[in-house]
Amino acid sequence: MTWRRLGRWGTLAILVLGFLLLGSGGAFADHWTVEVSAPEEGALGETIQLTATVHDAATGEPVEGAELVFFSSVTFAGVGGDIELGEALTNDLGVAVFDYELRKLGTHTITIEGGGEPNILSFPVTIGGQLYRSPAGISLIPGAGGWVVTLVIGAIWVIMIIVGVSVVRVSRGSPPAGNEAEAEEDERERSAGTKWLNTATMVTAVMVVVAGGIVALLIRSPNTHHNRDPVGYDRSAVAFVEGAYAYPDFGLADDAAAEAEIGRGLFVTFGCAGCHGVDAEGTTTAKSPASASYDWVRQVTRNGQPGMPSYSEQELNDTQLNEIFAFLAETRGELGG
Amino acid sequence: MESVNDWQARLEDTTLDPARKTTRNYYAFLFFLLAVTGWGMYAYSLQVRRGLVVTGMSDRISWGLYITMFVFFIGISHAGTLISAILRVSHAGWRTPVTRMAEFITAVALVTGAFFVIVDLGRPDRLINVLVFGRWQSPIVWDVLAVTTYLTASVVYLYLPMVPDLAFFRDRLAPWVSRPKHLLYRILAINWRGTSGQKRHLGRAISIMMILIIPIAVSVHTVVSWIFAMTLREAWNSAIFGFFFVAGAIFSGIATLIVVMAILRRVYRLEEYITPKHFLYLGYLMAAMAGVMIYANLSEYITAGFKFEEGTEFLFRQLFIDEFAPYFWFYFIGGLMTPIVFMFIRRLRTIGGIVTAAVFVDMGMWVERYFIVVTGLRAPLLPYEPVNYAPTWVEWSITAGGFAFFALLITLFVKAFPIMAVWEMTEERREEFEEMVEYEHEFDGEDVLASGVPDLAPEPEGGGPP
Amino acid sequence: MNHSGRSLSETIRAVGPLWLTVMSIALLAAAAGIRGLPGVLLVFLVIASAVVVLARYSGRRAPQTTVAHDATGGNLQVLLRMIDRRTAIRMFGMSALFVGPLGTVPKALEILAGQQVPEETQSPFSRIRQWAMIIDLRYCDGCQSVASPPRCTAACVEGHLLPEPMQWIEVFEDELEGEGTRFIPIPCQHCQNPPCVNVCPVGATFSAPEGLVLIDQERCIGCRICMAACPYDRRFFNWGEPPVPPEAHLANYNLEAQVPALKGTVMKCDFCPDMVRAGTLPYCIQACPNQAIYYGDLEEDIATNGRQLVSMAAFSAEHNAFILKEELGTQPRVFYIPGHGEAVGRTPSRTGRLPTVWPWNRIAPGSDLWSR
Repeated sequence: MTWRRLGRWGTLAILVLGFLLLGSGGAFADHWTVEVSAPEEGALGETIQLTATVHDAATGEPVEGAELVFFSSVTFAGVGGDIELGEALTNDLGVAVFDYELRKLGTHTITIEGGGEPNILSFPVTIGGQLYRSPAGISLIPGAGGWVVTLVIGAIWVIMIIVGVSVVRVSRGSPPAGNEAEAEEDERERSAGTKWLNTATMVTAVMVVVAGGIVALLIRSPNTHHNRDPVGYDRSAVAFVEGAYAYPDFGLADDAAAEAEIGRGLFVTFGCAGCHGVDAEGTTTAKSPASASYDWVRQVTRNGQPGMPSYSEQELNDTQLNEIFAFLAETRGELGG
Repeated sequence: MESVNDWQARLEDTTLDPARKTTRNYYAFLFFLLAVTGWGMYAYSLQVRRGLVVTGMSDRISWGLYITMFVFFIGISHAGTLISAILRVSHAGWRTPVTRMAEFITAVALVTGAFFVIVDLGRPDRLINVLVFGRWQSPIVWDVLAVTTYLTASVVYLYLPMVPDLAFFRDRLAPWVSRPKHLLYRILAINWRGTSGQKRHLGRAISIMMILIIPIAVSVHTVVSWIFAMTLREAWNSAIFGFFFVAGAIFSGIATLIVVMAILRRVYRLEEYITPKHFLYLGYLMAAMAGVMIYANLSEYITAGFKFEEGTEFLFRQLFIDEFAPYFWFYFIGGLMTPIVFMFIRRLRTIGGIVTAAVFVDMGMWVERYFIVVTGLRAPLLPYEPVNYAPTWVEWSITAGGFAFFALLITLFVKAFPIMAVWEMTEERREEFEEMVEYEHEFDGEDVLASGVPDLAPEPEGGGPP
Repeated sequence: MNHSGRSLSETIRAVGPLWLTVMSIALLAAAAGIRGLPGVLLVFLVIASAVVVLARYSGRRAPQTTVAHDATGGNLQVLLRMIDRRTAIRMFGMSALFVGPLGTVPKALEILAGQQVPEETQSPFSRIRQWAMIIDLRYCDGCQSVASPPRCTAACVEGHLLPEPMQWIEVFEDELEGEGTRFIPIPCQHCQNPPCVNVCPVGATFSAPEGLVLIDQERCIGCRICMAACPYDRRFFNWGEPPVPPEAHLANYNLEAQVPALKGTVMKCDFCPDMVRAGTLPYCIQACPNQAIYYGDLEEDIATNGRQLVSMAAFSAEHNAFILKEELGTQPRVFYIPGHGEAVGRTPSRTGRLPTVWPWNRIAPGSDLWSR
């Protein structure tokens, strides 16, 4: 009855629509349903399992050997996108299990493709500390070598100082303890006028000072084999995963007079010259900003661009920005517009 | 038969001679040395102003003549240790006349060697950083510690046996020297009166030092070798570097001592005290050390050559066949084989022959230090063409200045301080004499004393008149 | 005179050698790291045991009233006979005076010198970046396809205002087994067992917590032992006044930017720590036309070449990454994926690249030029 009501063209339309509906939705996936699951949350460094179960949409039977691709959505160094984590095949129960190591703190967004519409999983990772530890700076017994060297050198110098003391004894002409006959003779010698401040004492004193300096050097020396975290360094910051840092200004060394002159200096100390060239002429890394308008320079500098860091009001104030622009204007004139 | 006192008087006279009179030749020589040293200092001032770009060194061969000189001079400084310490410990009496010169050479060579490290620095104005920020893990800091310790120990060891001699200078030289110089002798002689108490203290001090200085000296050239051996350069990555360098040091030290001894003997007429026997014994020691060096070299090259790992071919080619072949074969034949040959052939075993061999040894060892430094650095680490190193006039000038400075210090020393170890030699002579007296008592009636001064080639019993 | 009323100086002379032994034990204890109270207790224990042993051996015997020999360096018998209980207690007490504070000497020196050992960083952040690079040699053709000198080197030269002839990242042409060559850009490998850091006498070059090896040119004394030690030829010396543009001298030297170069010191690739901390990529990564160089963090296990993101561990393993001169044990942070530029259409027989240029219009007056 329905068919006669539709007529020839109606049936054709329905058939075409039917084929279109069948043909859409992917090569093999039009008749699959995919259920994905992941733990509620995870700890950093843990390897969790993402499971995906594939059933045939029509029959409800599990599908074996279906290939699913897993992606993770990340951002790094101003580049955002998906990392392909890997693939998993479903087993005879239609279950695909993918082992995923949690290396990122925050919300993980996993996209699973291959089952028609991509499925998206999202779960937070909040617990965890440093995972990768560099082997640099690790020693067996921290500082032991230094103490051994100190002891050996110290022992040698102590013996030399003892020798020095013997020589002082020579100069004072004092007899060894307990020898009566000698003591009498040397008493006579001693009254002939000996002074404390003679060569031998001074030389021994010098030796003590040198030995002290050497011991001080050894004790102050940093203890790690690879000079990790060396004493006396002022590093502006260590790069932390969670941190957000400004590009540091290393400061102008001289006082330049004219605005453009200052701008030329700031162009170097803020790192602009690194990518754009000392004369703002452009380099392999970045184009010349000399022909840009004030508004464009201001906008790109304040907001950043892929490959270019941003400089906020606190990091690079408006006065400095104007000075840099004055330098760019001068360069533009030199370059001929 | 001459009594010990007469003998001593003659020795003292000979020793006082250099301090009493100064010839025109001496002044001429001194002036020449000052001129060369001054020229070297001028060249260094240029280097300080403009930087190391005035040298022929480059990123790929970043050490050259200066480090060569440093290693060479630290090596020479082992002369004193061998003669004064090792031979003293083994009671080899023949060494006493040369002991003072050996100790001079040691102290002076250490000073010159240390100076060359400073010359090689890119920022000598920051030298204090080594003391303030020094890391004990660094081979260079080991070097600083060892050389400082050795310099102090060798100066002390030079000074201690010289105290009685300085006292005798103080007592006898007053009419011939200026007041400041006499004051110097008085200060340095530290009230030496020759009492038995003083002798005991001094004797004990010398005994301690002579034992202590041997391990210090061995450690010094070992750590110098470790500046090379603690890197990953193929030519230097060898476990026997320490031993190899110490052997080389003793070897070149003996050779330098022979040369200096020969010169001073001729100039100051010390023929009576420094006899052909001394040259003979030192020559034998030198030949023995040459044997040790040949053995060490063969060990290294044979073990590397058998396996022929990656990189060995390049090293062997540049050293034995191509660019550095003249240097290597001069070192091997002139430096190592010559002393052995000269000591084997009777006709060459004269003072002149031995001194010639010693000169060759010194030159050969200098060349060896040079090619160790340069060939080690020249082997390419990555795929690039090896570069060549040619020292500039600045480097040669400073090198010449260094040699002149070394000679200058010895020349000045000889004028100011006693070149013969009068006290020690006299003590030994007295001991020998007493032995002879005892010997005579054993053989009643035999007039052994009349038969002459005892020496190592004893005359037949009951020999003729003196 | 009562035998137990020996004067202090006599006691000192008598027990001198034994006291030296005690001091050595104390020093050894300090050397083993046992400082402060445990160290003092340990040495007290040793001394107490020694005193007990010696007292049992000789304490009950009446000591001699005269001493036959000079006790300093004299024989042990005489020494033992001299140690009665009173002397032992005096020795014990004297040692306590000196041993106790001994363990604090190093710390005291540090405080006096004004150099405190840095405490753990007080920071709300806990995870330190561990910078590393992956260089995909399948995409590196020495910039033959863009007909220019290698752009990674050019960007580095321009970015750091490098004096001629330094090439911190240098593109070498390596012969392949068989026929042909490949191009391999080699920056500083930032080894985790760095030979250069191990030999530096003043600690001018050091390992940073991020795993980078940095140089402070204001501490460097220019001895060049680090250059002898580096097995990758990646350290460069400022032999004369460095030929940099005059603008470079407007900046204050900072060890993370290395501008301007200082005469008589050593420089090298630093992985651009100032830039990557601010969230951009180093010059060489940005400049590569084929995006062959990846810069990443081993802590988060992520890397990028400016366009794509990859997981470092998976990417290296999947493409059989290797490190240079692995047998030396330097543990570098630069991983190479084998190839010869095939992914950008290069065949191994196409050899030769254009030489690097240093594009300064003008250099600072008084500069020198030198060759490598």
